[in-house]
Amino acid sequence: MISKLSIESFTVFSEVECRFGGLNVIHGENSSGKTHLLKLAYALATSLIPRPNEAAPDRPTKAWLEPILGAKLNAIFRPDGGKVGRLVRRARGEGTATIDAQFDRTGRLEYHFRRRSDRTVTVTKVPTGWMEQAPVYFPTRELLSVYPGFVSLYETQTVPFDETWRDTCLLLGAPVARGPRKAEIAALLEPIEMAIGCKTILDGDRFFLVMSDGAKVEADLVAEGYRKLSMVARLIANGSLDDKGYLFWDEPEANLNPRLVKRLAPLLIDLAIGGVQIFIATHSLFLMRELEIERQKRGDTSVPMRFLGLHPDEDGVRVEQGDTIEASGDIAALDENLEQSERFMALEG
Amino acid sequence: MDIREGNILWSIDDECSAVKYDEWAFYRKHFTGCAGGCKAVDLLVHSGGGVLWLVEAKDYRRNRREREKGPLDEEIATKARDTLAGILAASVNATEDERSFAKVARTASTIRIVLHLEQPSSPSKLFPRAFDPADVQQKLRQSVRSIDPHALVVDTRNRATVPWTTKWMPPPRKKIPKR
Repeated sequence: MISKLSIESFTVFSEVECRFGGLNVIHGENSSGKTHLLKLAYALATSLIPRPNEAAPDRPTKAWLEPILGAKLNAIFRPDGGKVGRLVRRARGEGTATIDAQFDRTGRLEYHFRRRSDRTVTVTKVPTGWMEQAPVYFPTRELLSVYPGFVSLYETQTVPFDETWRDTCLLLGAPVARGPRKAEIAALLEPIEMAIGCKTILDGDRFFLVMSDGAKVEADLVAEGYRKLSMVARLIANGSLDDKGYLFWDEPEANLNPRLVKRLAPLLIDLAIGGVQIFIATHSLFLMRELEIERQKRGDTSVPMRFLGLHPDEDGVRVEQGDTIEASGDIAALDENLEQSERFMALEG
Repeated sequence: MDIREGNILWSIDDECSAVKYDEWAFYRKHFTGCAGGCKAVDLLVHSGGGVLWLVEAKDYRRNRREREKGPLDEEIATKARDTLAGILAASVNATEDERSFAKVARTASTIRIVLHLEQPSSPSKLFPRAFDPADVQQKLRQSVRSIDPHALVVDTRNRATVPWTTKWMPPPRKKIPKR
């Protein structure tokens, strides 16, 4: 689990320290850095998973991590010319971005890079072990419909997508899990499959949804909201979202109607209880309230929830955070609702 | 005991004492001008369990929203803050009745803030309630977190867990005499 992330002079962040729990809800206006925060944490986590064909050392080393971290930042943030130095926050002087992450089992990973840095970073603290599960990153849109051929396309051509798309497509293609975990996976899958009314299968290079009457429908032909939840179902089924895993999800509410958003809240809490550390970036007051309702309904202290509000000001983005939504500062969606009420009341007057 | 504030009638539970703080002589004659101007909530209710309720009523069934007063949560937060300061001053400097209530109020172990919000009566599909009480309550809780992190928004249909009930009782319409 990532318990703390300190960021200095990186993109929109001047100096922030984020403390995380099992289920982390990040909110803020557009351009407040929500996606950057998700991607940065994802880049850290995924750098600590050696690819199967890589001859990785027994434990992470400075020499191993430095090029990997640089390459991950490049592939995920896609700075112009492949220069990670472009990710240093714009300010006077030389400028150095410093990232310091605390993992609860393996200690700290700290690195920095300068504005003149090209493709590598300097690691100053090395964690004591690798990640046990590959992290999962969901962008704002679903990936089932782009899956056919995407990974090979990504690896052979220059395409305008960041590496999270490739990584997630790779995980989607992993075979369905078998063995002793099957019953636990089925328990997690049941409510989500009930919500969307179908099962997700991979047939050849293409995803299909199998309806309750047995009809097999191409994933491309169903609504995007269903495809998004089907993506989650697939990753639960193949064991990618499991104990000690990570889920980074950018705007899970996008293209979901409120009925599906309502189903999402208990699913996220169940996953977090199952040991998946979750980070969501959201604009949806409805989703935040559903999470709060679900937590209170369960009388729950079993999932440490954290709320992080990102608030841009003159000195960069400020983070207000705590265990309750109230501790995370102004919520843009709430303020706009109230402002709309005021405008409606003015019409009435 | 019953207290009327505008078109709303409060029936306060027997074990409580209540006053219309914004009508206190101490507030109107002295404290309102303190530090360039102090605001006041409508009612103070002191319940037997040592709870002091600061109650502000907003009745938009008949009254226009005055936008110049700023965001609703900030208006209530300012009134709550000023009222708490006023209670302390009144417990020392007010005349007998007001001072004795203020002295008791000052000993409260819990402070609760309640906004009684009556919605405009004209229904709209897009705005079944002009102000969503959940929105107002969440924003209010942010604004008054240091006083009452569980501030409430109620109306005549929703009693929540407060030691009173309310009725909306507009004055009877004047009959137009037949010619």
